[in-house]
Amino acid sequence: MAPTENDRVELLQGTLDMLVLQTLLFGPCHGHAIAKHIQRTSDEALLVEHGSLYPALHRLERQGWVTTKWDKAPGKNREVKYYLLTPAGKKQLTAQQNRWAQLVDAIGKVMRPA
Amino acid sequence: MNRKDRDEELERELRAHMEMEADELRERGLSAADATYAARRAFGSQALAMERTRATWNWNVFEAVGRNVRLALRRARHTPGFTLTVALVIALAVGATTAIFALIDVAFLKPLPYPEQDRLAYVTMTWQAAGRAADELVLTGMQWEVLRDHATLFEPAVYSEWTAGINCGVGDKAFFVQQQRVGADFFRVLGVQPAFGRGFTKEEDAENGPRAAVLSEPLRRRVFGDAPDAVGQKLLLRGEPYTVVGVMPAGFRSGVNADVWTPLKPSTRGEGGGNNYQAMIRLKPGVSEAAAAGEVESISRVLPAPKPSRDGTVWESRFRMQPLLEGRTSNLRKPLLLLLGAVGIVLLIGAINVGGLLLARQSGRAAELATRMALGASRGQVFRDVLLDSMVMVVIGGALAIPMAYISLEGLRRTNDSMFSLVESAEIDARSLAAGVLCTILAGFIAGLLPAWQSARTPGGNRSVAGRKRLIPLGVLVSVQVALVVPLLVGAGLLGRTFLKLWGVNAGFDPNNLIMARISLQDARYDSSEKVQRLFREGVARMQALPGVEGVGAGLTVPYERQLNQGVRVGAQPVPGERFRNTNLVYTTPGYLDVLRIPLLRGRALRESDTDPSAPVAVVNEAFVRRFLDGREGVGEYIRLGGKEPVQIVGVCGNTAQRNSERGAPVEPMAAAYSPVSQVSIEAMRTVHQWFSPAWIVRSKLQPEVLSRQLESVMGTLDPMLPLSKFTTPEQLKSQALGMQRLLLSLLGALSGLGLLLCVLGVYGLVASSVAERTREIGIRLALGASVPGVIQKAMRPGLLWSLAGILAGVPLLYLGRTVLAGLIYGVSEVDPLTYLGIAVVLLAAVGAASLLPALKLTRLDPAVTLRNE
Repeated sequence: MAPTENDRVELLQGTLDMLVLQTLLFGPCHGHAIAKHIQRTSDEALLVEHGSLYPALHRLERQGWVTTKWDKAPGKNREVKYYLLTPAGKKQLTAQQNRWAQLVDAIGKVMRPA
Repeated sequence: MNRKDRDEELERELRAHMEMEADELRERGLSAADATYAARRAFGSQALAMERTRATWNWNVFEAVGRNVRLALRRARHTPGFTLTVALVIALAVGATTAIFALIDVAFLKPLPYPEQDRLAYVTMTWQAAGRAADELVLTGMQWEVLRDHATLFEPAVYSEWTAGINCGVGDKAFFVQQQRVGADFFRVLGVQPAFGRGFTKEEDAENGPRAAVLSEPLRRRVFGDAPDAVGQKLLLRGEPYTVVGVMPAGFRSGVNADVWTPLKPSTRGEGGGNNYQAMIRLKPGVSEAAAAGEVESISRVLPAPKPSRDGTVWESRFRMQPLLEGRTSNLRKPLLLLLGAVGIVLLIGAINVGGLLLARQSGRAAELATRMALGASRGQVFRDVLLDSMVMVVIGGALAIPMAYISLEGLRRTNDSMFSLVESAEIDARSLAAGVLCTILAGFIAGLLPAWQSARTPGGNRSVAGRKRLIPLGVLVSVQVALVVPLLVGAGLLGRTFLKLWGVNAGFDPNNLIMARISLQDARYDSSEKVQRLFREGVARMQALPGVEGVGAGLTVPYERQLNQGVRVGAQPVPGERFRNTNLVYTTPGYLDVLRIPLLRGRALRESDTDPSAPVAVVNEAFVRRFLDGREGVGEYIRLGGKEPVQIVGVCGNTAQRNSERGAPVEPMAAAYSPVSQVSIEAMRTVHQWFSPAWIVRSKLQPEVLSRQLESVMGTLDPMLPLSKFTTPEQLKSQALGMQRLLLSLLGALSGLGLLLCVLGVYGLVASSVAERTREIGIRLALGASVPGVIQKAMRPGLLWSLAGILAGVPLLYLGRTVLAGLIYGVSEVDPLTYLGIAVVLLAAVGAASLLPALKLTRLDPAVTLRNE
């Protein structure tokens, strides 16, 4: 069943970058695929707005966490822009994951006291 | 990668994204057209995505500013009338500020044109006794020698600040020039060497030393023309032969207007016995100001112990060091402080005024701004745009302010020729323009801040917002402007009353059809009383013989001038414990009172026959009688003037307006005694001719140019080596005497007029926007039968009430201006009721008219049209 509008959750500020980096961990990817991947793996709970996705991608590129290259899309006669994770990006992702885990843990303790 | 390429790449990337989305949808079975459409819709606004992405590129900030400035310029072009009004207000305010700054810069801030001028200072004397202190700018010869002999941290120089008109003869030509006497070290300490030749040597600066002169460049040109070398030439100064040893560079100024310098030859006797010298020092390299000041103070201890004065007080005297610039401009400090305050107020009023204009326009733009905010513009963006709008208009005004400043300064020059040196050397240069730019930016911020804040706060524009509430910020701005203009108007009013009083001081003589010219008798050839008397006698006779001349006289000084101070004692015989009191003395030819038409009140005038040196006589004026004779009539009384022999008063004449050399009003009727030139000893003449150049006074209906040429030729036949000074009229002397008052009044008057104009504009704007907002409501009222006068009265109310609040708020501000004004107004109380009343009337009339004008629009209002007009 397709989720209704109400089932969607807003992305927490700053988490989109982490999600993008995480997606790129499995290999180079283009913007469309990144958006689809996030939506799919979150069971459509997270809708990536394109007005946020592309600024985020360009921001990551500027910070040197991803690089880009134009390449043929597999099976299509079309060139798309691929984003690749850099070693610095990997390190950044680890740092963000750690912080995220801490945050979830902390919030969980508050919301569901043992 | 440049900006365009990046943009294209981004667009390609987004297009690819949408095409892939469409591909997917097509694979799910949608038609090609539906798929493309759905992909677009799913993507959302491509423009927004691009915009936000672009925002992550770093050069965006500058680009945004550039774009916003372009937009602001376009908006400014769309409302030319409004833009022009704002620009004009700013141009007036900033232009005035810039011009005044140029004046202040010259007087206080700009370094004097001497190398390392901050190492130069004056040394003056401070007298202290029982908590009182007095400053003496001039030193005696003995004090100078003490200072000179004990200086280790600085190099001292001595000079006299007094200039005297003297005769300068070269070949068969003679020039009336201004001479200043300076010590041998003067030029060296100032740090300016002659352009040709050299300064004075120690031998030349000693008594009986060789006679040497240094010329100013203008005088060199006047006397020697294009001849290449003036050094070594001979000339006659005061009838004595001098050798030119140097020529100062063009543009050199010693602090006074001098054409020629001669050695001072300082001594402890003669003039050196009195306070006639000034001392200037230059700190030696590496010496701090504090160390030098300390040494100056400590040298005071070497001064001989002070003697008690007549009333028994012991005045302790000490040297004091005073920075050069401060010393030169101490008398200008107060007036310029006043002007600085005034111009600051005008700038503030101008900025607030523009703020009001912008705010009024804001209400018209409320709908637009609300729409923009609804479309996603942030508050910050709106705030920034509105601020930018005001900045753009203000900057246009700032550009217009440059010509405005030039015009103001030029106008100042034309109307204030007597404040020549100050006004003349002021110019609109890089410094004053920088000040103007700073003022412009400041004004832009002040003007834009409130409207910008207001706009970002406005929740949304619709017509139901209560109009009256929206007027409050506008009303407050009007109040602030009115409050600020109150002290300005009062200051101008008090100065105006002072000026009128001074200008109207009873001249005491008939100033029409008079011209005067001076001659210097500080001349070696006039070495006996008889020679001087013959000169006057024959000169008067020959001038009198000219056709069209109604009367001729001569005297040491003329009305509106500073007179010779003279100690006087009343009574024929000395009385123990009696004291000299100060009056003024004028020696005259017998026709003096007659040609000036000074009325003789009692007794007789001076006569040709008053020649007997053993029976001296004098005519005194009424002020003299009132001050010294305790209600007695005067005629027949004896006084003693300086010397021992009693002088009989033979007549009493009316007072004349004279320049006051002491504190008090600059022009006043002063007590004076007139004595016949035929009874003045040659010793007395020698002394006074060092300071004063006697004047010929001629009454004639002839054109001054014609008359002056004739008088010059008469003098040419009498003594070709005795040049006449420039001809002046009593009006010119009067203007000179009141130059500072006049300058102040014209500036403060212009500034307060400008302030008032801006206030009136502000009130007009307030009432006009209130009327505009309430047109519909008023239309309904009129339709329902409200009377037109009643409606007008109501419409005027905000203008009047806010102004009144402003006036009340302005009264406390008057206290701030009081101390500044105190030394500048004479004969008028600082709380002069007439001035206050006048100001109140003017202000109320102005704001009343400004409120009435826009309200009158309502008389042309057709209720039917207004009601349908929505």
